Amino acid sequence: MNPNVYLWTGVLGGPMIWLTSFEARFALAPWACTFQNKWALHAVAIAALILCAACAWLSFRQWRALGEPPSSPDAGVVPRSSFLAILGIVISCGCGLIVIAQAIPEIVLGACE
Amino acid sequence: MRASQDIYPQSVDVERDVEQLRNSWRHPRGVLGWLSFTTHQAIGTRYIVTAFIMLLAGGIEALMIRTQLMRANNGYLGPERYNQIFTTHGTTMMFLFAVPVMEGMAIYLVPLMCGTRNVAFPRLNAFGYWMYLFGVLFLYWGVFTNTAPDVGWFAYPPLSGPQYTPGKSTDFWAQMITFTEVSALCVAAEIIATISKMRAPGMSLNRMPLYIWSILIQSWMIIFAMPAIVLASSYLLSDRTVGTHFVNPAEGGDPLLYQHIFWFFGHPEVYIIFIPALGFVSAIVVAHARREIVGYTAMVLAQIANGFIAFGLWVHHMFATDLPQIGEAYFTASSMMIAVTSGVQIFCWIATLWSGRPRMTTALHFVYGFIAIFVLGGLTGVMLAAVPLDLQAHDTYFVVAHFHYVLIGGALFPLFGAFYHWHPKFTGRLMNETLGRANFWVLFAGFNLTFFPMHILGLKGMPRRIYTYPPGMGWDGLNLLATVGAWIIAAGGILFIVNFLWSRKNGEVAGNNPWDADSLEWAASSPPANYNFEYLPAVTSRYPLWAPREQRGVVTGLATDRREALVTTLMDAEPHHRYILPGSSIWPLISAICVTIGFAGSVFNGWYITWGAIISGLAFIGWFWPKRPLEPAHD
Repeated sequence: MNPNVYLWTGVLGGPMIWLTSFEARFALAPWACTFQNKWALHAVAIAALILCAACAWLSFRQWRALGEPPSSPDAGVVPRSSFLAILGIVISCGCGLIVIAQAIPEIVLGACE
Repeated sequence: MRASQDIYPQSVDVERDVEQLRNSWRHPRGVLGWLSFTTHQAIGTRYIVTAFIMLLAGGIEALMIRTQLMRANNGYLGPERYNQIFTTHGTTMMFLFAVPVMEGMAIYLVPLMCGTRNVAFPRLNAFGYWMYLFGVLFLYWGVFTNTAPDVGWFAYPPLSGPQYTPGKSTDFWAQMITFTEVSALCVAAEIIATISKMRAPGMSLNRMPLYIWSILIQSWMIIFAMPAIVLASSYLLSDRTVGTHFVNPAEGGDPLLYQHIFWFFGHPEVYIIFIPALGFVSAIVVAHARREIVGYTAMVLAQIANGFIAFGLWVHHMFATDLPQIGEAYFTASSMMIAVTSGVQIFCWIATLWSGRPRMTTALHFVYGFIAIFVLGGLTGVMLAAVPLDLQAHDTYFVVAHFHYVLIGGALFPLFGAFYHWHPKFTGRLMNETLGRANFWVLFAGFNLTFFPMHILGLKGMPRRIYTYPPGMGWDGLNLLATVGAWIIAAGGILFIVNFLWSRKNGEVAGNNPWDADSLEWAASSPPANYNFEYLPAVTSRYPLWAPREQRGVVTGLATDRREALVTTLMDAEPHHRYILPGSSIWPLISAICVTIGFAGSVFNGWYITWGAIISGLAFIGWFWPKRPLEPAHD
């Protein structure tokens, strides 16, 4: 597959996974209260965390594959790809962090609080 | 005037090419010609001028609000008029000033910074401006015919529903939204296309100026956020005019649905306004600190993250509604996370300034002012993200203080800085620095005098949107102070206008690059010719004008006897094909008039949607009618 697809998946995948999981958990919150059960919220959070980690790994693999950067700091395909790969790694990790931050109230609060 | 004559190759006939460019990019003459302009400089200038007139209108409304509140039991404005004034103030500032002025700046600057001749869709650009202008006229027609909206800039039902607000005032508000959002979507589409496909050869994604990144992210945000508000206002309008049941609880509609949709737009709107302002700050800091930005990758990362996280905050405007607490806590978490990405940018700017050789120009004064005010606004934002504090401070002046710190500090100060920075490019003359510094200090003092006391007023329990208050509440002194501050801000605004008018005639002649700045717009003449560059530049560095002279290049071989531009690839900006840009045309204006007839008429009679669609369709046929031959023969 075109390496650019992997790079863009790394950059955009994490935020989109976070937003989707976020919307899903927000929509599931009344359901969790009705059934007094938070497993669905936890399941979405864990799935999102795994997918964010996968995006970060995808970007990391691209970054490793690029090898040594060229002497000119920003010229050509390699520095551009490296730039996108680093963006992908950090954004995916950051989104994973937000998923965790949003999971804390799920652990601390009761289903109907 | 000619940029970097010595870098042109010997093989080109510069004089012939420039003469042909002048002819092919010449504006048509006369009133009809003036109405047909499609160059980005002309349309961008129109946006900026119209938006600044709206800033003036919104500012006058703010002064009326503050004058009314300067003492207890004041009778300067009655309750109905007060409601109209604060609604029009909020609506004007959010919809008719803040977003359009950022779009106007982008329309002017993006093609220059990308090293191309115009935006990708020049006629759509003109159409977008006319729609915006007609939206302005539509709202203020209501204001001047005593049908000004009076339900707040968010127009929550059931208050805005037909039972509680009969008459046409809210209909004017709701349909004005449609005008301005159509305009915003037009601009977003053309900016995305321009940045994605018309960057100078060599300007790969990792070499794009931070301002271009910020505008690209803002445009994508517009694409996703604006349809939500068009939907919300259309629900409201159809509930009011044709009796649908979307959001009107009297008919079984759901007012919370309206709030969700409104704020799904409304919170990203704040970022749509201030993300471009962060781009201004980056451009000013690099040029005036005279060094490369510290943490380019981190800055891009923070901007992209801001763009996404902004869509996960909307419920923090709805903490006082009956939503599940776990659901609210998600929004608390994401609201606090956005402080991290904003903080990354603040640290990068401070590090750049710290390690650079800053020139204390007026533009940089506004950047320092921005950092101070925006950090304070961000801190109260983090406070308001906590549900318990938000419930206490909800609908008080604490919230008014917070969002003015964020919006004026985060957007208006960088905008003024940007104006001082790019004024030489717009007009060919520098603005007066002494008047500029006075302008900054008066605005900075007036701003803090106005809005800092509002934090205390809010904590003392003064609610928003009250037209007066009784004596003995402990609010009198702070309100008077805030009113004095508002008049000082007005004095700062007058200083800016005086400086602008004086500098247009008497300012020092700037030359192409008075700041020795790094980005491509400074390679064009000041003010730029209609075609921007004699030869499109090629880029070999993230800071192209700081690259050694022998490394700078230009594109040759493009036709000059027609409006031709170069299309490049998305990732690495490699030349791909030539693109013929359309010329001046009256059809965007005619189309906008036809659409306006449909939109404006539908407020009074639903059939206007049908008639408007038919005449708009005819106008669009005229717009897109092919003209043969499509292009002259070229090798």
